[in-house]
Amino acid sequence: MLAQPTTQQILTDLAREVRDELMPRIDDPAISVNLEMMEQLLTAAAMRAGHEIAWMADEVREMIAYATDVSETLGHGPTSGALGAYEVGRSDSLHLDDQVNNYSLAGEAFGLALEAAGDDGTLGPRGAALIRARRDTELEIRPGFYFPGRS
Amino acid sequence: MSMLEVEAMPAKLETWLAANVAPATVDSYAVMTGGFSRVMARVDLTWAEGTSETFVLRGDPPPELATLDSDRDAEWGLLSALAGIEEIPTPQARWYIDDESLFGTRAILIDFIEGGSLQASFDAGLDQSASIEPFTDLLAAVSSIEPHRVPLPTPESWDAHMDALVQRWRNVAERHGESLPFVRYIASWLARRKPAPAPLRLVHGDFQQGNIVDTPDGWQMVDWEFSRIGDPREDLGYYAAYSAAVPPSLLHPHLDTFLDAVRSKTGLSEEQVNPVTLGYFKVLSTIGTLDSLYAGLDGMARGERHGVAVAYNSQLIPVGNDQFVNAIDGLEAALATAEG
Repeated sequence: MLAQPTTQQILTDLAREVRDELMPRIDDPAISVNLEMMEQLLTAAAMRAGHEIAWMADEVREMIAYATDVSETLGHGPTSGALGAYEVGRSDSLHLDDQVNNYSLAGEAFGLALEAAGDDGTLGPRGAALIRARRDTELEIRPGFYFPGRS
Repeated sequence: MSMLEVEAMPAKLETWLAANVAPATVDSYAVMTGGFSRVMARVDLTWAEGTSETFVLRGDPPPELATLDSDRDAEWGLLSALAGIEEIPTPQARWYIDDESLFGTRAILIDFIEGGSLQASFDAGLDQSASIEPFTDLLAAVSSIEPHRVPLPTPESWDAHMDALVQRWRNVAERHGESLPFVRYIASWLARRKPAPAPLRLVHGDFQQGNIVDTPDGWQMVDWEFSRIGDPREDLGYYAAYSAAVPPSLLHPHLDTFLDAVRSKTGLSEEQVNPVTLGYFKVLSTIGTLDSLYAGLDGMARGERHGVAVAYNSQLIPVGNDQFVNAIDGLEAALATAEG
């Protein structure tokens, strides 16, 4: 396969084309709103294409480490069960669907661990910090957000 | 068939009107922008006896294009009740077309009112500080409506209602195809930080400046599809979340003035309405829309839904997550200060 221009570069250029070439020529307000949404989605998809496998793999490691500590410290059965499901279902494949599956399995263990940790003096703030790191990644994917047709 | 088929709709509408209201000619039918969840069309018609009227026809998009789910039967029931409640300024709903075979959706014909959204007025320079009074008047008017006055299910108690709302967050995490640790985190936090109770009242459910029409005769509230009986602070919190993402927000930099006005007009106490409870409801109250946003994305992931508007839900959810984290941080900091 041809790797360059990368998927990120192609999607970024499509977003530019929508923004600079198509949107100024459209008078229909409904289509304009659709194109504005499409431009934002293409920009976000470009960012994800460039980084999402690495981001998910990094976060999986952190989520599993956290859930393991919660499971061992608090003896929380549902978290332990979700960790077991992760071990059974995880894959070393770099295909996107396999990485997404790893991410979801780890996320389930992490979510249950967060519920178990609650106001725990150590595990609570540590889980909250991981959630904020996830939020920061989401912000990186959608810089300059505005709601088309609403603002 | 769907309401988006603009060439076929006039004749369909004329058929229904002739059979159910009176003969009329539809002079124009145009799909309106601004409604994210429903399809709305402006209908200009002339009755056979010669008078002309304009309506908004409001129905569901085709299922595969749906971004948010809500119930037209419930909306029609509520709009019919609101017509008899003079405290609530809203355009009158005139007829309900409950036969889906005609337009591909149940639909409501509502009086068209001249005016743009309050959002558009703000964008055009409307004085924000002077708008706090009429805005809080509207907020208080909605929250003055006791449950028995509208045909909506009434929770057993405030505690039961709050528990049910938190459970809705958990249900989203349980039901979604992908794990949602963010949602589990928020649900857990909401369950641990319940505020002082307040009386159950009508909640609009999508209280924001895009759903207020600025007419020459005053402001009118529209889009009641997410209305329910609940805590009156849900609308306040929802507005805080929405306006932070889609400015301007009348809460900032006038927070004290705004909350003072809310307290004085609703009768709620300072223990019930303050920056801390505002932060709590800013998080809690968005479940009505978030639930549907996640459902749309789940449907797309399973190949059941498609379209730009559905995909766009993936842009909106991170906006909410950012708001929630900021609100939680603010509330936790306030609680830490209060505890010394």
